[in-house]
Amino acid sequence: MSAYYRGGFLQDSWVYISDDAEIPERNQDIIVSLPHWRVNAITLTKRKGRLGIFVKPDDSFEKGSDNLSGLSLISISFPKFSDGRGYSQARMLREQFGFAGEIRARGEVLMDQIPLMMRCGIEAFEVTHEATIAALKAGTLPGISHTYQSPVSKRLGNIRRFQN
Amino acid sequence: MYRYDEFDQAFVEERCHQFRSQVERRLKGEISEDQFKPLRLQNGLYLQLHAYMMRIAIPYGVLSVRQLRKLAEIARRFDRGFGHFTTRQNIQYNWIKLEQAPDILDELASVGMHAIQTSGNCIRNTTCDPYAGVAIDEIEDPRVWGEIIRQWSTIHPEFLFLPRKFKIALTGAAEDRAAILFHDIGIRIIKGDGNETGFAVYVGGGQGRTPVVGSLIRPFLQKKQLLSYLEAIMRVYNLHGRRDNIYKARIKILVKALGIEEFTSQVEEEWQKLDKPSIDLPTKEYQRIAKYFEPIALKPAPIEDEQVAARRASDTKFNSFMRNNVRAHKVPGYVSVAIALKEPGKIPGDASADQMDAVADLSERYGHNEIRVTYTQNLVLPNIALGDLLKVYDGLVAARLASANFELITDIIACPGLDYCNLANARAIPIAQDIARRFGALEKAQHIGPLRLNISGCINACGHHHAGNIGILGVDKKGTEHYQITLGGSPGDDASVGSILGPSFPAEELPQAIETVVSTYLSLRENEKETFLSTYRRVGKEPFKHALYDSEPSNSNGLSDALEKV
Amino acid sequence: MMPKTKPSIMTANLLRSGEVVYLGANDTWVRKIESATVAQNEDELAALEEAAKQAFEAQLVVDVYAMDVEVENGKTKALSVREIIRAAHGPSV
Repeated sequence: MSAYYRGGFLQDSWVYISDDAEIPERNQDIIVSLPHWRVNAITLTKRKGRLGIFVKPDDSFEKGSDNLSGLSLISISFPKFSDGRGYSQARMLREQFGFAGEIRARGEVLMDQIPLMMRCGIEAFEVTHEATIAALKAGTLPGISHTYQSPVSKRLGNIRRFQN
Repeated sequence: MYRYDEFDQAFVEERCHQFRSQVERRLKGEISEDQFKPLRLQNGLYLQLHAYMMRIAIPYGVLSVRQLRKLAEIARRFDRGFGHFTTRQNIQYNWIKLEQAPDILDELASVGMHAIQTSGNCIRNTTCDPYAGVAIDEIEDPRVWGEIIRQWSTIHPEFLFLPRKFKIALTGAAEDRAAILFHDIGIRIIKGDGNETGFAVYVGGGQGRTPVVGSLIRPFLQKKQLLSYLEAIMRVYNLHGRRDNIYKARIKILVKALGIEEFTSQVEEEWQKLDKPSIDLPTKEYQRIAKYFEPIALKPAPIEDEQVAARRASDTKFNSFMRNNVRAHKVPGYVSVAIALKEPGKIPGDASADQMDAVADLSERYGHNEIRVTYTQNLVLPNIALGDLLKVYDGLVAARLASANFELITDIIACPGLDYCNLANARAIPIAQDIARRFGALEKAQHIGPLRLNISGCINACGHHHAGNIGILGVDKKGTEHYQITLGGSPGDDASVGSILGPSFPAEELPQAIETVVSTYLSLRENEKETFLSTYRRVGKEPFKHALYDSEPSNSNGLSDALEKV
Repeated sequence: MMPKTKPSIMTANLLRSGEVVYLGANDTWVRKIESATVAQNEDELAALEEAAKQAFEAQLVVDVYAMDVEVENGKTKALSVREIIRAAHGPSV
């Protein structure tokens, strides 16, 4: 599918697999649900293809038991743009779990929220909204470069007021 | 007071630019109304009954002369010549056009103001004691923390799409004049062991459909850890607050559902996991902000002034003004002057552009450039030398701003109600005007004593009726406006939610019912010093219920009889 | 035979100014409630709703809805306190 990264849209090789579907061949990059991954982590990580999980707003991670090291990607769902749980999830994944793989947003992903998502550690976006796609292609995201909060996962510590 | 530096100025100008482009996109149809609505709400723009209403932030209720003059100018240029000060220390304009909103924001930015997050499901304006920095009972000036919380919460990327709105209030004095116990988070500066001060933190207070007094979550928090602690609370709320039902989405519902112990434990657990150094304010930054709030250099002076005393003796109105509206100041020889925007018969909380300019002029000449907004929809000049008081008073008289009814029954707190608001079930303003006229004579109001009367036009309780000693709630009963009376609410340290008295009254009967409530109080109070609230707490609601519902409906002589004894 | 419903009209606010308006003749939006087109039955209302929907999609109006009215001596009047206040384009005070 196509996802936007800072700079442009890229075709990637990720495929979402629903819980009742067959896991495709070993080389395919797949994204499975969090519960499915928890049950099948061992088999899934044995595959050659990359592994990602998708996370719903009411999902949560357990620091002790969830080992994210086998994951290349976490896809955070924003079923409605007004459901802000994904922002917290992204920050927690970066800051508390130290997740260094790709975090992407899917769902109702719109240009006015993308800069905020980026500030929470989300770096890729599955976009279907036409005007948002156009803005991304034109490089005209309506973000604000001055911020009062430290950037996530930069651990810059004492820089409070930060300018991108 | 705080002044924008380059960074703050650049920030707010970027925000203006961003909103302007959002409005353009909306007008072109590039985003839908659904997608645009949260964006415009987060810039303070509501679509109300007759027009757009714009709510401008007055952070922790502090204004400079320059800013107040700009608000007057906006009232003239973009509105119908007046503005309304609100129960969250903000200002609202009722007649705004969407296409003008970007220009208004540009004007505000030029004086270091904005309308960011005054609406929407995000952290709203943090409110504060209007006597911060000058009160005699002050432990520590809370305004610096108001500014710190403002910056921390402004376009905080994680907390712009909360389950519902979020309100924080702060107090730094012995007496809570910010109603912190009725806020989502209430913060009180307290003395710790030794010389240091810290915060007592309360959570889960609120009004609306399910009024509740906040619970203590942390008895003592070190000041330098405030922001990380707030983030922990916000994150728990963001993740676990209900999103299925807007009437059950505030943090108070979550706190109640989990219980304060479990809620506290979740917050503390999250707090331990946070990267505190990247959130808490570095000392240098704290000091930078704190510098702006250093006390003004005021020279102590005698606390008695001959001319003031003489005027008190000869001018009864001024004497009342002195008694009700003027408060002692930390620095001897100074006072704080409350300007009640509650002339009986006028719209509570409204000020004309000319009146705003008059207050600005007085503050510039005598008030050290500062004005405060109270959550009771009034203004305060916090720093007035006693020697200048008469000139200030005469200036207020000339501007029709000298109502000496501050904190009395005619100092009514009323939401705009069905005359302006899309959410309302009933009108609040005409009710307020009628009641204020009935008790309009100052001697009457003074005889009754301190009394908080609050009117809300709907259950959203923007008039804070739950916290009123007398609360009035407008309801829709089969298409007609009816009003329910509650008694015994209190917003302060002794916070309590008012209790419903009985069936609602139609609009025509409500003001008389209030007269009956008042005359009942007057007949029951032990002496003139026992306030309405104290009497109510002593005798309970039965006598009031009886007077209203059991006796004859028209007890119109009751009040005048009671007052004849004055 | 069309089922008879309460007479009704379409109302909204203009997107740009926020002014209260009513759908009138020739799909124009008017300030005066007396000039609103009254639907006497479900079919007529459906036609009004369609026209209003198009105006919404054309970025002309927002908060569109149908409201009941009564027609007294040929004059259209709002029924509820809220709509009476809206039709007056200003507060009652």
